[in-house]
Amino acid sequence: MSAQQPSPDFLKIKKAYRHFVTPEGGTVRALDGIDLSVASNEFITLLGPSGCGKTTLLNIIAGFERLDRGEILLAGASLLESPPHRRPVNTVFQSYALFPHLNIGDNVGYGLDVAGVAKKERNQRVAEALEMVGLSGVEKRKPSQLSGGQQQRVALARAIINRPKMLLLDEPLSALDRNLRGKMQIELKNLQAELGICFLFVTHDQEEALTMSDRIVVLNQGKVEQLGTPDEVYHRPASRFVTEFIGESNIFSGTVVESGGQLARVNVGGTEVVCSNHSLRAGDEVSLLLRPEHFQLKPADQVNGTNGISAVLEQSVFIGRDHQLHCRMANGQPLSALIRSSLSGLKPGQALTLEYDPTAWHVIPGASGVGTAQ
Amino acid sequence: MKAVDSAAAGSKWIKKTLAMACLGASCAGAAMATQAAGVLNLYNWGDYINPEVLERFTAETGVKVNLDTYSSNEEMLAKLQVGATGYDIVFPSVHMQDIMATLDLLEKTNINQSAGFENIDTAHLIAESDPKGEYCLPYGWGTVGIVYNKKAVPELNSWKEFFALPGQGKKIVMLDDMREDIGLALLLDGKSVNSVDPKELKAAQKFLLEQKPNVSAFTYDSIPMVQSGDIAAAQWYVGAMMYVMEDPDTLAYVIPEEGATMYQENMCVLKSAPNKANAKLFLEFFMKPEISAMNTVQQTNGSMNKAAIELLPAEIRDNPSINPSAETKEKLQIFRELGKGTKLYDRIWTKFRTAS
Amino acid sequence: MRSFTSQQKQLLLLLSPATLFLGIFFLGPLLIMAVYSFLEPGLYGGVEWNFYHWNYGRVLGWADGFYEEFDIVYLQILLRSAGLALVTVLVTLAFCYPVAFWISRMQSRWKSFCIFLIALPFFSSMIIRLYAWILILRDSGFANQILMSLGIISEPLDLMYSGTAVIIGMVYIFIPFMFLPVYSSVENLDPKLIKASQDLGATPFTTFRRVIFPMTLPGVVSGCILVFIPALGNFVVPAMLGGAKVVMIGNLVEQQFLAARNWPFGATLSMVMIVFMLLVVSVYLIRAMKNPQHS
Repeated sequence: MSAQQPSPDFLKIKKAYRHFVTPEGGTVRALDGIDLSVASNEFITLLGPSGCGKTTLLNIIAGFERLDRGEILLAGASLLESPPHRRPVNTVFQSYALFPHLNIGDNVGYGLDVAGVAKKERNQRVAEALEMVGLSGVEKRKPSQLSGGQQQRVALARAIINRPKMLLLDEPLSALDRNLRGKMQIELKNLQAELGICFLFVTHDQEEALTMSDRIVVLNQGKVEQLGTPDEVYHRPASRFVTEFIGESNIFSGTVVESGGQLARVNVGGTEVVCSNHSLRAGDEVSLLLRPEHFQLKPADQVNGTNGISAVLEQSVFIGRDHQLHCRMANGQPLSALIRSSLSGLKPGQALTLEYDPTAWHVIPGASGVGTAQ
Repeated sequence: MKAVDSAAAGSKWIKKTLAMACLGASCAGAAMATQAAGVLNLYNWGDYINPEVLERFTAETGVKVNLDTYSSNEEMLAKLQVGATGYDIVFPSVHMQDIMATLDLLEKTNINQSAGFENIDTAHLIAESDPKGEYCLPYGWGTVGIVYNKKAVPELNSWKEFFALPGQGKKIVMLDDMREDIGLALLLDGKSVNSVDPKELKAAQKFLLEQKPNVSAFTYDSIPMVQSGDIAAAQWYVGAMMYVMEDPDTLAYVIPEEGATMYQENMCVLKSAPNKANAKLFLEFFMKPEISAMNTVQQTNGSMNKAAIELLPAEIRDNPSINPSAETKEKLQIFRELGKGTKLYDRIWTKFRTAS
Repeated sequence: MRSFTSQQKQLLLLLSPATLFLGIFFLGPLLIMAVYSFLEPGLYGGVEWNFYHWNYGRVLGWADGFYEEFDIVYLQILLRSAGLALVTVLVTLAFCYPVAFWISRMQSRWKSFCIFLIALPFFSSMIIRLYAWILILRDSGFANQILMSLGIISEPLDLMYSGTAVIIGMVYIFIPFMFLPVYSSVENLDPKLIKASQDLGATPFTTFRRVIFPMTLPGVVSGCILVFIPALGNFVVPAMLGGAKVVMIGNLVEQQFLAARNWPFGATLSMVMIVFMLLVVSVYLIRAMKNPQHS
């Protein structure tokens, strides 16, 4: 099932709009002018908080909801005119939606049965699909007799058996426990590579998105905030929203004191921070972002004077492999750092100096506000 | 079914159903076993006594009257058979009185010795078990004739005309009653309404089957349909006179010239009665002409108290439908107990009702 | 003898009122009926305590040698009652099934209102409601008046005292019994399953046949049983709206107790009816046990 030459414009969404009227009479813009192109062999994730429009977009592609205006093309043909059962896409539903009155074999074979595939071929393909998801020989059992993880695999097998051009996955892992979720993330990624088809994955879990995706679409209030690889989205968030939504960050607002050459100095509530100069000028308002893992803990005397922030340790939490340090800067702002070393003897109240690489700061011009974002 | 209130008549089968439920769950002790000196427990047909009579009795004697009702003789008998006690007076039809006498359920009251019995028409002492009136007091009687809508049928005098109405596009209904319908068929054939001769009954069945397609319905609930004109004429009780008097331009009741079935209920004291003295007191009270007349006026049925008849308003006393002439009375027949013959009637009735 | 643990004693104590109640008010009368059905009828009602085998034979048509001929009239009545009950079941189902879907898709306050409307007739007497139907169906009734004033008909339709009137009345009386179980199964149907079926390529009809219908079948079957059983014994509607021109098994039982004074035969007819109903229900149960997926 290896892919042919991948087409970059396999799924094309043009200026998609969709709004809902709430029972209270307000209007919610679920899709507010979405433009998107997805390649035919891509694992793409729609990421965003609940209500951002990601599930609406998935439902519209599947055919369960309509678009107010805009166009969606799949392999060059409009999708919007076809009813759900004629669309060459299949869906893995949140909470699986397995047919409780059918056994596993009949669940997986459902798509083939309604298409009238001959019994022999059908049984063979059911067995193959179940083997592909690592669940051979459960055809006779009922969904209720399987664990959550097994049901998840059945739902996957059922969705791929029709050989869709594209698989839609609606938060399929959210009901699984943490360990199983990690395992399924890898398996899903492998399955996608094996099938060579496009996976459109919807989640609100940024870690899941970062782990599996080729590209991530960060959605907020019906708009695309950022479209990029996990690395881009994580390290170079396009907006304050993306910053706050993806990963944990230290975000500071400050004023440029001096800029020149490669570096700039920024005053963050009385503490001076050195960062890369992104053609900043003195007096500019900026937001500075640094991931907690980019701090290093050095003994005070070894720190290059300008590349360190002094802070008081409030709490140190061992989270396995790393220590998470919750500190407070001299100006009262909280600061979070991830330190990988066997720390002993650190006590709350102790003064620390946290060193950073000036080029690691991500600078977003103009934003304001102070805090540590998740 | 002697009920003058047609809604009550219409709900007959509900009462019957309730009675059946009672048979299942045993009604023993359902009636209050009141033994107190100042109480009298009547067990009567629904709407078959003027409440004013009871009020007058209480006012004059201080005896409190409780009234419980039934909708068929069989229901009353069944309840007594499963052991219901506490009732003092019941109002069986004549044939049921004979059954109850056979079953030794009735108390000898010697009511014929009491003052006022001389007013009772001895022609109405028709119970085979009580020819002299030693047990029960004749209470009321009536006929089952035809009530019709005068706007649909200007005049109707016979069963023949009644059964000819469907041929003229006019609807008729009959009572949903085994004895009345089979009895009518026998009567029109010139036979006894109490015949248990299989041949005569076969002929009656044949007659009924011939009429069945022409009869719109078998129901007790006919008066509103006749009044509205949806039904032209119905086989019904003389109690219809109450409605005829209210709406004389529309309704009429007639005892057909071929004759009719008649019914008569007597007041009987039960052997198990807890208040026998009060019961006899009530029987004597009811023999007073003004009391008896008060009841007859309200019930619009026949009276067998000659002194009371004198007191009736002319419209009732001289009404040939309520107090027919001796000649008409000759043509009336009363039901008797059939014994094992009941089973034959049951089969004929079932077969008739099943035919389509 | 083994002694009960305190928990078992507690359980017994808790269950005993219900068991007693059922035992006295349900099984007791049933047992009396069963015994009576094998006794000789008393001449004036009641029973003679002699074993009597004619009752059941009579249901099948055999004569008891006294005035009677072989006639399967009682089986005819039973079948006719079953036929009417079946028609009632089918018409109520045809009405309730789509309406249940319609209501289940309403906003919740309209939903509650509609369910209230459907359950509303439970709050008034059946007799009164059937009288209302007489006013509607009779020749001078509302139905004919409306049709005539609209010029659809010139002569009143013969609605009252007809088979149509009986079916209208039966359906009207039994709609809530069908609607509530059907509605609850429709309401519990996960819309995701319908989406999943469409998503996998099933047309709306295939989705109905393979998912919606099997998933709502338990509610449909409960509704059918809940309607069929009381409809089989109902004789008030045929009597009031049909003019009692045909006898139903319920009339027949009533007639045996109150007109024919033949309690044992009435009990026998009741027992036959009970066995008939048990057969209908157990056919379903056995099928359901053998083939729990209805696929």
